[in-house]
Amino acid sequence: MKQQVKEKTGALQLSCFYVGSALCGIDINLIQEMNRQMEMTKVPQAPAYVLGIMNLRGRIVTIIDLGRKLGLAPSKTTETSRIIIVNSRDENIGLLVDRITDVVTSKWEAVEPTPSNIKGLKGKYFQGVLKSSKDLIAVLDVGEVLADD
Amino acid sequence: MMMDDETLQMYVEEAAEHLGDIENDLLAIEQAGADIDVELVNKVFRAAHSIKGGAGFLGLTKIKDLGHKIENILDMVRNRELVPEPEVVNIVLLAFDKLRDLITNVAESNEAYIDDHVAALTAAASANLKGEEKASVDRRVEIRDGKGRLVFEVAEFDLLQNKKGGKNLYLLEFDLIHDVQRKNKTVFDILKGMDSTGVILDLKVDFEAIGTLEDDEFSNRIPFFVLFGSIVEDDIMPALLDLGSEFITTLNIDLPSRQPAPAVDFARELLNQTPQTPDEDRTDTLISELFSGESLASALNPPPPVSAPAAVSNPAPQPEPQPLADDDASRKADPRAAKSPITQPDSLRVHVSLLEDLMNLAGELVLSRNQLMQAISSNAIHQIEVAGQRIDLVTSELQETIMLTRMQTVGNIFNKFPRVVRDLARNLGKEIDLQLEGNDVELDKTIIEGLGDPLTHLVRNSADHGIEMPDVRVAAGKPAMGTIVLKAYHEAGQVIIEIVDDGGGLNSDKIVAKALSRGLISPDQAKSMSDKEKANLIFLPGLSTAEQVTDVSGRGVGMDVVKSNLDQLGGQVDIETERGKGTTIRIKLPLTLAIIPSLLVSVGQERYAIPQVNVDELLRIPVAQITERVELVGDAEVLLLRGELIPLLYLSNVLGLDESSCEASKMVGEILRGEKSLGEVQEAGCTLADVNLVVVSAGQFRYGLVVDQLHDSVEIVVKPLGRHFKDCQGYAGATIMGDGHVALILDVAGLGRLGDLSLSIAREKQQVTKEAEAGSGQDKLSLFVFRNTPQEYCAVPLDLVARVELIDAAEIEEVGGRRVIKYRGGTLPVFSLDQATNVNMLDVSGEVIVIVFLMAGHEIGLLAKPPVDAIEAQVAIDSFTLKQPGISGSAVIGDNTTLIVDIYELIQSVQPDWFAVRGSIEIADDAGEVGVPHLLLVEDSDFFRNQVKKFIEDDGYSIDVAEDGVVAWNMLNADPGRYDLVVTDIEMPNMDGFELSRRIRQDQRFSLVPIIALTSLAGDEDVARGKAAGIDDYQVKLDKERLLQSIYDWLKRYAS
Repeated sequence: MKQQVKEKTGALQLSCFYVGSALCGIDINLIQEMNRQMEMTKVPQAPAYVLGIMNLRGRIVTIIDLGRKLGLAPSKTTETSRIIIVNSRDENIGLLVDRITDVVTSKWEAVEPTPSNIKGLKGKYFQGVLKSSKDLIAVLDVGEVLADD
Repeated sequence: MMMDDETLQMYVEEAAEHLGDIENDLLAIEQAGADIDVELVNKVFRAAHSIKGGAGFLGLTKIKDLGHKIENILDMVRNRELVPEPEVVNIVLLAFDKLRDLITNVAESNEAYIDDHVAALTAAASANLKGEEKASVDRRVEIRDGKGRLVFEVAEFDLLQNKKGGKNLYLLEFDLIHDVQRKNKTVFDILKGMDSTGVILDLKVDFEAIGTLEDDEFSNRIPFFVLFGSIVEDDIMPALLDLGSEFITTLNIDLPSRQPAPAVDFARELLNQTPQTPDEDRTDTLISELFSGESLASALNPPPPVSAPAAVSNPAPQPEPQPLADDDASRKADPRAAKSPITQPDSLRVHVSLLEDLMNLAGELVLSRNQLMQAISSNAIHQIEVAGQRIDLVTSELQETIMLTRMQTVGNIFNKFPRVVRDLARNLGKEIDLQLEGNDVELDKTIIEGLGDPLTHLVRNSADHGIEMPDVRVAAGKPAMGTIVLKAYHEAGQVIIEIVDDGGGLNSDKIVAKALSRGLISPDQAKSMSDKEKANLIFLPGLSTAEQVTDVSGRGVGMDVVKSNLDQLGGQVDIETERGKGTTIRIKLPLTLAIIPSLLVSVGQERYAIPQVNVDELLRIPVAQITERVELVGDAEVLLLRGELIPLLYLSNVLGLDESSCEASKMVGEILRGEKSLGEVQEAGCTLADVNLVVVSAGQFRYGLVVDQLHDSVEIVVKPLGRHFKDCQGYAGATIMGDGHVALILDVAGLGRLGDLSLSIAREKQQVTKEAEAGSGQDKLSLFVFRNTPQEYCAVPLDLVARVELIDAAEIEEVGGRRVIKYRGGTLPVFSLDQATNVNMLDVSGEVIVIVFLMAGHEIGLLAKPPVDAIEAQVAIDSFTLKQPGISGSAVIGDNTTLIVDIYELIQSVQPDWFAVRGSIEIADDAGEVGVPHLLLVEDSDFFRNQVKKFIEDDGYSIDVAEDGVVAWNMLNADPGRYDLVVTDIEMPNMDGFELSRRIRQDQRFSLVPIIALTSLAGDEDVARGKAAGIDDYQVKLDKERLLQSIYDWLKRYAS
């Protein structure tokens, strides 16, 4: 994983958001869309971090509680909650986050290795951290987060 | 390889199509032996030829070589130089297999190892040749062009073969630029044209010629060489081919080559060849197809709905045919063969007219949308409705049409079985005739694809373990050749596939013994099982594993896998077997999986869809009846449904929902366990609703699924769930409802597993109740209860009721002194109880119930007042206290004394003219004395027995009664000559109607006695079973008139 960071070079645009108190970012190229539609169908027996399924223009999208997946308590949906739809392995998956901030432009070279714990979040789900002017942004490893094991 | 992907793809598809039927054709050729069917051989020849031709053009050398060798053999067969003996056909079959491999892996085909096949084919060809010709097979002849460049190297034998047919040989040099592209032609056009006038021996695009600049002239040519054999003379060739004569070289070869190893440079001998007698016959047969018109046209015309690559590359557990030694070697030597084929985008052929339809529908959809948009913007409600309806219509049609494009014939899978069975039969030393029926029945693509494996398994099993060895068969009095019938047909919106063999059948005792030893069933269960149930045990997981291959007559090996495969396709499988006679395996499949009718139910706020195929019936149990209808068996709750015990599963429990504290589940459980009384539950603040449940079945599971609410049945589009739900067993997918919400689709079998339902609970309990019922001596009756006046409770047996309608009293008309209503486009006579019997006057006003009966082929309605109810209860009928004409007695149901209405008498008094007057029959008994016919009535229900006995007696017969098959059989034996006709119920304890009939038919003393079955179930299947058991006629219990007529007719026949 850390290897990946070193391998990647060039411009990086991170779409940033808060999960709990941690500022995280996803490579903007991986994001399909963001929305605030919170209407979903619960799926009993599903893993705890799966919130349910949603109808996204005729496609069934699995919604994941990102905070829960990363090791926090179950998220509460609030006014600022958003769902980030990412495309992973030919499937649309939605990530519930607490609040969306802005887009940060930087370079992959500036991404540093992840500490084992970022404000209560499990380190293995991140590709690294990026120091911005005021805060530390944890770069989410979408593939790892959405692994279905 | 220079060709673009599209051309290559097209070639692969074409080739696969050519290969599609080849196996069966070859098998037919093999069967015909020396007496060849030229048409058939030509067909296979053309297939090989087309594959070869295309391969040559595309630079697929290995495919070309192999195709060519096959072609040689077929050519010899066609010319009766070679008899297609099994060994020869086997070699060809294996070569075609290899060819198929090569084509599936077309990109790697040039590296493939085919020498073994080539050697085998060559040997087969040369084995039948005369010495001199034999040598010619191995001799290569070089063919050079005008500049002395080596163009082709071909076997001398091939040239000689052509020569013998009286053909001239030409080396043609086309130029891809000037002769093809500039003239606006395609290579295929040219080759096709040539194919109709001769035979193409070899072809090659000479890329080397482009690169070399040594020649004086500019090399703005791409030479394309064709070695062509034709009866056309050389002076016509230029005109025929539109090719300059300098590019046509006539080759001269001497007949039976005199010198060995002639590396003759034919091209330099520009000698004219004396014409030989053209052999019309041969040219005729050579109108072969290279990317032929026929197959091109088929893209436009009715498509052979073949996606052959899918069917062909199916890694089905094909029986390994006793391989030729060389084949075995080739497999080892060529590890590539094991590699999975390169994934190519799936493609499907669709009939153009279907596409046209789709286009039209799309057009209509757009129009309707425009209308709708316009109507919405102008807020014209009526127009919106109209447009909405239109869209509804167009959408359904669109859906149907699109589904059609996915349909493929089962022939796609069936056609591989003749080969499977042939190879298997050869290996096992058996004689098996495989018959295919219903090849053109269509199923959805996904189902067709998923069906290959399980079907192969089943057919293999039938051939391997079902059909006995010839000597065993002969000893058993059967023809030495066994028969397996594989057929597909439509039934009730589903497709049925049957595999029928006339082999040894299953040994159900062994299966049961095995199941017992593995602890899958208990000894008690085993006792209570019917033969059919025993046979179906074979599908239980764990019943048999590979090491028992020969044990349970071999079957059952992986049968549970077959079953689970079919379950995934939404299919159901059923097995019937008769020792020594054979086995029938029946698979029921839905037509499609993509859009399915489903029942919507809900628990809490969420809705769920249950596929309609799994839904048997819907029930609502009133709170008050919970204790009567539901029982506790151990910890499990079971529902009593018409004598059957059905385990209950609470959807909320299975899925772990805990939304309401007053769920039906807890409530029912508490009441049953006596922890709380009804009152207490109500006091606890729970609003007691009736219990809603859906009786569902899937495979071996049948249970009642308790839900909060039942909704509509709708057609839903199945969408797969994401990967995070792969461990969830209970769902078959999700769907989007009309309001945009997502609903989960329940997987009935998965839920059954989740709910840990075992079959044993219900079975055990079943046994207990059967015994209990037998002990109680009370009759269990389904009754339809209604009121004549608010205080007068009446009931009729539910079986007799055809339909119930609620009407307004104003709808009743009085015409010609009779009361009628308009009903289903006709007139229905109605009457009230007070017309025929001594009860209070019915108040004919407001809402009135019409209970419709079917009697003597007519419909008639009985007027009554609501509320009505259908109950099932054990009732003691008092046929004395309140008996009067039209009333057969009374019973206490609930807390009310209820009159049991004798509908036969009633209708007879209201409509006497419906009942025919029959003459009386007299039959001579054994002693020659003529008298009234004696009938035997076998019926387990006291109520029906008395009813039927009465009206048979009324018709002037003497009748004895028996309450089950065993009693009846004893009575028959006690006085063999006494009975002239037997009327029997089907469902009875101890011995059922089928068994009784079978015994009667097998006994010479009674074999002629007519048997009429009396039943409330008369499905086609039952009728067929009954006929097989020897039942002469089926009559539905409720139709007295028909039954009497039938008795009369059969007695008359018996008397004569």
